[in-house]
Amino acid sequence: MANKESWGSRVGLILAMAGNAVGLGNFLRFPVQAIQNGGGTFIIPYLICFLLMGLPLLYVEWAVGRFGGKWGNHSTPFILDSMDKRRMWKYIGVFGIFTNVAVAAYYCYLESWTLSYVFHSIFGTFQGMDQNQVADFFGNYMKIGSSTTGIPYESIVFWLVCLTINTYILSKGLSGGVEKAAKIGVPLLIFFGVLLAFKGITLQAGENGAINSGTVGLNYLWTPDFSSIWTAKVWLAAAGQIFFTLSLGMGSIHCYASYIKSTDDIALNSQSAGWMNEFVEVVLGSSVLIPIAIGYLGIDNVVEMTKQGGLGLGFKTLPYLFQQWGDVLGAFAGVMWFGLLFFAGITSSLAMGTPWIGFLEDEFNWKRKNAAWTFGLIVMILGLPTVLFFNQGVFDEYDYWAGTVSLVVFAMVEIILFSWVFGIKKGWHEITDGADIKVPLFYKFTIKYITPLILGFVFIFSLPDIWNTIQHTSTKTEIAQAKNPQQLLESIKNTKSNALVDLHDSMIYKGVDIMTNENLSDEQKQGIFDVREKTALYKKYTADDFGLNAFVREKEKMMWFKNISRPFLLLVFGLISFLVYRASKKRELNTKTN
Amino acid sequence: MNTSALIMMITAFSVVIFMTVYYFVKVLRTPPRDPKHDSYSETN
Repeated sequence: MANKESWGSRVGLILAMAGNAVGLGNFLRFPVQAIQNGGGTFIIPYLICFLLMGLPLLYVEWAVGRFGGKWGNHSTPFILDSMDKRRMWKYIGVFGIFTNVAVAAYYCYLESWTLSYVFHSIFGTFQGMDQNQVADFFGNYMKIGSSTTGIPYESIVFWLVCLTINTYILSKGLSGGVEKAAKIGVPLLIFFGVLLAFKGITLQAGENGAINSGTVGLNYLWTPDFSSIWTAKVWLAAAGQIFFTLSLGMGSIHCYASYIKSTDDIALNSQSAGWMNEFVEVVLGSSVLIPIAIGYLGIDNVVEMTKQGGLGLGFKTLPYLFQQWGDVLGAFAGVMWFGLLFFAGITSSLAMGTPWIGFLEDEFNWKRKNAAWTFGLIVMILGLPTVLFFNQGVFDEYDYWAGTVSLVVFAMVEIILFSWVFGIKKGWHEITDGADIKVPLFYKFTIKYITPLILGFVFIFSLPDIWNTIQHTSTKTEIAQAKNPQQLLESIKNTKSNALVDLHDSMIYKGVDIMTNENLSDEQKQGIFDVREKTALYKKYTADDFGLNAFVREKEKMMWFKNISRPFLLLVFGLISFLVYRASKKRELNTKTN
Repeated sequence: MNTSALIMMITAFSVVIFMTVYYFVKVLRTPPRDPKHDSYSETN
């Protein structure tokens, strides 16, 4: 085998693993999920899922990776193959390369926005802009032909720069590239995060135009709402968040761990990296975006904005809010915010490149440098549609199939392989062998029974959503509503006569501080936002300047692009499977020759 | 902040910070078992 790579130091490995886990979702997705799922109560299911699903899967993935590494395997197809000789495992292991390549394809584009916004913060692009102008700036940035700096095709240029940085670091090797980047990136992102969190928490009402103190946001985020703890939706959201935040079910943890010798610890390492990610997510992630956004915009506006996800708040709103702190501090805050997002992103995307490189090094005796540049090339080709057709939903489609569904499927299969095929007895030995801590015996039971059950639960409850995505249900609903806005009026009428029967229109349409109004039930609060959203849509669809035909054409085009993306992703999966087939034939030939 | 939110936040922060520091310090303090033949090139 040609692959002779190794980690430089134990701390470097832990920082690289933590960097792999810490991503943009720690700062953009976690607070939004918490807001949408009962505030402080979300943390209870979240921490329970971390203990019963996150930590066990971390143990499993580290153990599986180290086990595969013993046999010279550094990518999931052959790591899984070393655990059970049935041919199918190799092809299930393809998920561990496919997911990384496909996620990197759109993730690097997202990462390039943060790089671009660092530059715009330094050069003062956002100075003097109002909130709408900052939001429009983001929209314009996504239009490929437009330029905000004078550089033609600016977003493509930043994307290519970002891809080149990733590829260059990957080409420098595990200890010379990935580990060095993690040793710089992770401490810096924590440092930036701590400074911004301090600023967020200590924000005072009336200071620089803030309408609330930072503690108002924290209060909203952390006030427990025990009524929502028993709803399946909250648990599903908590389990989903644990998945994304720890980068489980991707194959990158296996790959990093495969470079650890069998005599060395994985139990303490996995705990240290896992909890470091939790520190960034729970402590820093909850103390920046929401306290600052609520401080300036109020709870109701932020709750409404989080319906569109965290990206809108992070890119369309925060640059404007930072400007309220003055030109210099605003620029610094912008650099720190987008800088920390960039470091969080790049330490994750580097982990996505490693399985592909390990695969080529192991199976086809490729040199690291060449393997790294092919990764860059593949990500560029695969990522180009997400850049060119971002507004047509290709980016979201990649995110859904590669960054969401694939993770759950792979994790569910790998835990069954580990606990039931490989066997929990051997598996437990792999986890505890060389351990520097005593792993609680409770985890043996959890890994065998509880974690597979939770994963099954997550998968089964995700099926309706998967079906709706395949059918483009939400887009079709939008088209139907645009063609017949009367539907919206009827829906508004229904909500008013059911959930909002006791409320006057002045409260529904103009009431403020809805979310903190103790006289309103959760159902009423939800109903008010629902009515407001549908009323705005009704106004949009019935406005004189609304072009129905153009709107329908745009939506149909979007569905077409999404439909094309799916076979494209399947084709990539097929091509990697073919390479795995070739590699296994090559191995068989080598075995016969020897 | 109200009391329940404060309790919730301080408890969650304390648990997470304690576990993060505890494990990381343990990593730093645990001597390598076989520095010549372990997984890390800097100690070999």
